[in-house]
Amino acid sequence: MLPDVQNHARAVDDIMRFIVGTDIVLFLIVIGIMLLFVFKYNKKRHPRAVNIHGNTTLEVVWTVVPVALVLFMFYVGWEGYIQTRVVPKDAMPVKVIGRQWNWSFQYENGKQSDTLYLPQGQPIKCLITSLDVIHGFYIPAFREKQDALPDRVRYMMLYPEKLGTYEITCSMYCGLNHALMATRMVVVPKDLFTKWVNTGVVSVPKVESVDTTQAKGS
Amino acid sequence: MADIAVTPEHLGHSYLENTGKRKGIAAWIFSTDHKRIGILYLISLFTFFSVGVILGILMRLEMLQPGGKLFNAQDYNALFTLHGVIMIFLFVIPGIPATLGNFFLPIQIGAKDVAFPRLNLLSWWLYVTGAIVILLSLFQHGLPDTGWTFYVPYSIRTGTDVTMAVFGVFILGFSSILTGLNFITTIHRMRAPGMTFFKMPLFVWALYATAWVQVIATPVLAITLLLIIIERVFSVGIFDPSKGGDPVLYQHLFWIYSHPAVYIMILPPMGAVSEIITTFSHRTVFGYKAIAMSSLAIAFIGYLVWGHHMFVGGISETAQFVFSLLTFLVAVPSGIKVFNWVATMYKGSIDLQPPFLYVMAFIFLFSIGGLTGLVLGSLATDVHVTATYFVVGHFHYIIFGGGVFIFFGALHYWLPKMFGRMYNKKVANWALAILFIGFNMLYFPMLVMGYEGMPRRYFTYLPQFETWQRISVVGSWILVAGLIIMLTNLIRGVFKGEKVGNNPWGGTTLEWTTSSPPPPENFEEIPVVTHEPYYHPEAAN
Repeated sequence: MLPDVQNHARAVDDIMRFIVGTDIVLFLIVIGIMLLFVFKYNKKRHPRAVNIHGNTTLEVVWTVVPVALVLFMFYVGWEGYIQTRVVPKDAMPVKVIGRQWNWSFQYENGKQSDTLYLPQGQPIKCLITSLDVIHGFYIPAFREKQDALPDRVRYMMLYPEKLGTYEITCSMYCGLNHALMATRMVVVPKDLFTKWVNTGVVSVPKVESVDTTQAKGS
Repeated sequence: MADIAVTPEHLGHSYLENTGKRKGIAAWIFSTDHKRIGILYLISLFTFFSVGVILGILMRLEMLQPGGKLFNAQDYNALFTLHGVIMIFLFVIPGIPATLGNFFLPIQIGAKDVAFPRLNLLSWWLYVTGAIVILLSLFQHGLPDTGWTFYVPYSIRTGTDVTMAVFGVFILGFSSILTGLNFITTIHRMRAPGMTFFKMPLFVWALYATAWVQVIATPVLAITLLLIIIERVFSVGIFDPSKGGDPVLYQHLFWIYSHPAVYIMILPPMGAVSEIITTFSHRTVFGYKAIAMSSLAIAFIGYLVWGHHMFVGGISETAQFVFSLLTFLVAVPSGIKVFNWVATMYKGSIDLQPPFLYVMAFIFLFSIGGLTGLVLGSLATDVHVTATYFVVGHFHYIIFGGGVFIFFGALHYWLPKMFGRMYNKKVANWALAILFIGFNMLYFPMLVMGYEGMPRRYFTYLPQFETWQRISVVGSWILVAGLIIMLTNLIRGVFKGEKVGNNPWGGTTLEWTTSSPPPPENFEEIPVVTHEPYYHPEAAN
């Protein structure tokens, strides 16, 4: 499983468990009943069929119950999603710029970086855009994804809780080296981050470049 | 006296024998007989299906190890584009309607042919023309590399020959529209005496709902594709922001067609499922009206959910709310169908013949496809899994595991009627078992990899995905073995199979009342319909 590194990653996993759990129950019911019927009403055991045209009560039940269920699922998914869209007042803006085929990040003071260094415990508002075609800014460990569109800026909230290094990939097909358009996010202690972003002294943990491939495409 | 002399000869006569002036291949490719056109489509579709399968196998093979060792990035990008374009536009969209629909729609409603036989032939020729244009695009400026979705601005900027490929798809659209138009008119105007709308077989209902989607949604795609061509050729700013256009507009227009197109792919197989289940359960269908109306409901709500392809793209939170809600609701009529099908097995007398086993495999795979759709409909989880292997797994469970498995099942069901011969049933069952195992080995790992963050359309991957990728690759080999066995068995059945009578399964719809293979005008005399559909007099009431 993926690491669990921030609040709403946990929320997404909980919703996933709820939906998949319900899915498995429904699946087992449908397949179980089908197999039971196929066994019980096999022509050897049940040579003469009975014509049954339908049952209004059943039709109503298996319309209303699924409607209620999917509406509940919808609500859970919407609630989970809309919480990830809340922007706290103290959020730090970071510009995320996609281009064929790399990411770059720009901080408030104008500092630019190819690796996304973030201070631990600080809410981050990524402002995502693209310089050419559409890209997809995707951080699997955070269960977050947002398309980078060339003509507008969209945002994504990140709450880096744990120190560590996480993969960033491109999720929207963008041409030749789409699969190589990867970088890393590094969560560092706040004081270290402040030093790095203000002085440019590379006192942050060094990150080797992402080796998606072991061999470059030509 | 003369009449008596003619009769026996006339009875032995089938649509497969040439009677007109034309001989050989010309007697087929210029025939306006809906049955011959259906078979033309069948041959063309399966030719392209084979190409699509080979491309798919190559894509999987690339994933045997990370690093793009087999193909470089450019070639892999062309592979998935061609796999998508061929499978979607040349195989699953024409799919069951153009082939088995063409063959059986008129027979099931007791008609001699479709309403416009020449238009029907024209639509096949348009299909062939569109396919040739797409193939020509491959040899001009390199293979198209945009993905089957042709997303702008990439599709406008790439140097590969997108214009030609897009124009080919544009032509194919007309083939689809004309087929839809023909079916709607045929169903309204050509039904046999006594066949009211609510006496029509459910396959016909499904084709009817599909035909409306084809007629109403396809022009939107045609317009969108034309706009791409105009933008590429004349540099008019429509979608490309650097020329003042809007790329999100393209996504809206594309999915306004392409989401309903999913229902073009899945509604006809659902219709075939209703036919097969009732025939082999030897009883009437459970909830006829619920099944018929749910087809229309799917076709209607299916129009209104396109935005769920763009949850992480450029749509507002209000739009996300509405599209997510409607997406969940469109799951309900599909659920209703599944419940009614399973209920049709209740107190039946079930004969486990190959077509019925295909239906069981369908219910299994389609349920997984539908239920994983709920993960994608839910906004919180969609953000994480969209554009990953999870989506690839999901839609292959729906389109391949659902739609195409029933295409195979329906071929096993109707082949004895089309050719008057039976394939080897034991081999058919083994082929299905192999297909089923291969399919799940191929696509289930994709659901897992998607959840773990493997983006789609990558020619390489991070080492942590290696195990799942390899299981999936091996699955593709098993699947293709199953396909080869199944198709060989069917083709052998067509030519060398044991001769069977007019109604080998005990079906009750009109196609089982005529001879196998049917005569050129389907019936010796036009039948009069008095019974409800799926009337099984031998069953208890």
